Amino acid sequence: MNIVMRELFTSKFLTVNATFVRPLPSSYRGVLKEPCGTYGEIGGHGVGLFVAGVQPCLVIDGQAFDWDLHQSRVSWQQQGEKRTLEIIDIRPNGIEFRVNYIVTDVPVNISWPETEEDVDFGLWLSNVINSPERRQVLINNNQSRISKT
Amino acid sequence: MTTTRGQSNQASAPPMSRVEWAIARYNWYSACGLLDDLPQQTTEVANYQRSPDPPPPKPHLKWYPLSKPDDDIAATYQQPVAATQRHRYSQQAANSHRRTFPTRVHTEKVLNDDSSTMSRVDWAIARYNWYRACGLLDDLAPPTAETTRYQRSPEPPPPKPHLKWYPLSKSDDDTATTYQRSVIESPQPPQRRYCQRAEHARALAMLTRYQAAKGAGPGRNFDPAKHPRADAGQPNGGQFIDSNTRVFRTGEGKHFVVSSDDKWRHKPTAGLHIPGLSHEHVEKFLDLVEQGSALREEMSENDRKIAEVEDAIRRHGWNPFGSKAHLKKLKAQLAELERDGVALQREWAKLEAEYKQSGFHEHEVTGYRSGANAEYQQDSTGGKGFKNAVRAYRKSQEEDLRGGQGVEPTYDEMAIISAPADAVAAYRLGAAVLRGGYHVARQGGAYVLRKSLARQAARIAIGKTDDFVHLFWNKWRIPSKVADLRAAYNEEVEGLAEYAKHLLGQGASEHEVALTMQELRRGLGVKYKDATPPDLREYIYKFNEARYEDKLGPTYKWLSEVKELSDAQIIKGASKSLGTKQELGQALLKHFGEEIMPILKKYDMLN
Repeated sequence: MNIVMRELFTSKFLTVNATFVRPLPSSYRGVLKEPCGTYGEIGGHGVGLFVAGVQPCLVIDGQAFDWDLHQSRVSWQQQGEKRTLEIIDIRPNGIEFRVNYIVTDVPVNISWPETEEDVDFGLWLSNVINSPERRQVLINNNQSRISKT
Repeated sequence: MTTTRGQSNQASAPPMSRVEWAIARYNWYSACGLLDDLPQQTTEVANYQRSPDPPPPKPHLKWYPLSKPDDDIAATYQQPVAATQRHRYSQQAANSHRRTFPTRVHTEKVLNDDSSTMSRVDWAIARYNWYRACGLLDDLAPPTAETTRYQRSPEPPPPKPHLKWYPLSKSDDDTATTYQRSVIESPQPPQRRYCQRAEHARALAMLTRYQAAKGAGPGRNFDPAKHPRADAGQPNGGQFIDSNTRVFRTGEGKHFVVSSDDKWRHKPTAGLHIPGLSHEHVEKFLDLVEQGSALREEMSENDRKIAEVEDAIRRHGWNPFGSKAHLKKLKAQLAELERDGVALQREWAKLEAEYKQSGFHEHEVTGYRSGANAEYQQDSTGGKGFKNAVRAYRKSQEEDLRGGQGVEPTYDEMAIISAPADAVAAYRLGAAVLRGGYHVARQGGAYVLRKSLARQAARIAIGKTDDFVHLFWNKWRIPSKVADLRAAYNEEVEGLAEYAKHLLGQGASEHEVALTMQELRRGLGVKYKDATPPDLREYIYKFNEARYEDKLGPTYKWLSEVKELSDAQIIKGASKSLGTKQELGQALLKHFGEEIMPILKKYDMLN
């Protein structure tokens, strides 16, 4: 399945060819035709976050799965310059993804007070998926995209 | 003469109780020889006549509140016509040979064909009469707020033109049973609620007005020569002192000069000195203010008494049992109170004249710099007004006396905040302190050196004056030097946090506040980018377009849809200051490389 996603904080759109590790409910299908997520590169791996209907999903190197509050976990850690992103899904056909990476960019405060997550996609992903408010913003934005189309 | 109940309430004739009205109706039918047509006396009337207390209004009666501003007395008694009643009415019309009844009644029309249908006021009067007749006036419950409000109004308002009155029966029948009216629901008065667009429109209108009057007010284009002071011609009087030297007069010929090489140097605030400032002067002012407060209280008390007596007279007019002697007494009381009011007004005018002659203006604020005095800090002089500032002054005097440091406080410890009256008249003291405290007034200056203190004043100023003070403040505060731009921008951005709190306190939703904050933030961006040198500005635009897809920086939509930020995060971010000028230079250097180096050097933006 091709999913159109936006590259992190840019206006570039990418089409990611992804395979769902387990079938999604039929209600989620048919809403993935429009750009519906954000994609970034971490340590040589392509990681994306998108919403199918009202369900946040993650895609890692072409493998997509729906994110579950109780059975999936996204965590981010930093030790010195080394940063670690860990994505685990404990369901059957689950995912265990761990990547170490280094960020060279620094946040700039020219017109907006940027933070680390503006230059670190892993941190942004972890913050968005683990925050109920931001998850809701993500879902609402997707809903408004669908209603516009 | 045609008389209806609705009209009788509005005309001079006193309203009738239900019983009186039932009797009048009986007499009317009897005189017309139409007793057969007279409806049966309702159970309620019968109960009413028998029971010690009048029965409460029927639950099916819809009472419309009097308090609605567009309502009228006639709208207060309406009875929806029940289906059975309509049927009976139709039957009567069909079977009657002597009278012609309407063949149909619209359901949306209401009919008042029952003597038990009384207006609230009618009912209150009937109740009053009943208790009075029973000698139980002490047991009578006090009038409700609505009744009181009705009685206080000078006259019941006339029916609205959109209310139509329809005769139900023959034209010779003018009893109260014969009118019905269609009631069109009055639209609810518009509720004032937070509206982002209206908020912006208001602010914009105010800014426009300000700009129109800019020639006469403070700001970049202020011309001191056009605004001579009353003390022109005196030593150090009538002129604006240059930005590096300040002269404070202590009265009695002394003055205190702060020269350009002292600690105030970095604050290019000019000060208007107040001629003749002395302790006696301040004491006199304080006395005047206190006298004025006491007089004000006395005047409002008198006004309240007058209102009470007028109210009593009005009630007396409605009371058929009221005595003339009592009325006469009330009128005499009213005349006396009015005479007192006139005397108080005279006294006030006298005091006001004295106040004006005292040399202080209401726009002058005196306080202590750096929060030297706890009272000043607590009261935040600007917000509370001159009175508290003067109190602080006096308190400091006492402390000085106790400490044995002399009679007068040193003027080094005191700040005199003064702003041109025509400039701040509309915005009161809070705005003056806000402006003077936070930044620099090029004319008529002020200084409250501690930022925290100024913020406190700003907060109060926003609360005390309109929201646009905030915007005004921004408008005034464009510094002329590029070196100050970034710092000033950051200060203003930080100030948005106060405004956001204010809006949230007013009941605005997070979403609305986030939108407003982001718009204001972008507005600040426009203001400061306009003041930025064009060569540097172009690079900032390029950076913003590349990073945020908008040359002025991120929009609300971008932040929400791309960064997936919540409203709370947007509010927080919009009021968070950015890096220093040097940090900005570093960021631009990293993004654009060597090509921007000459510009960064030119504006000293490299470490």
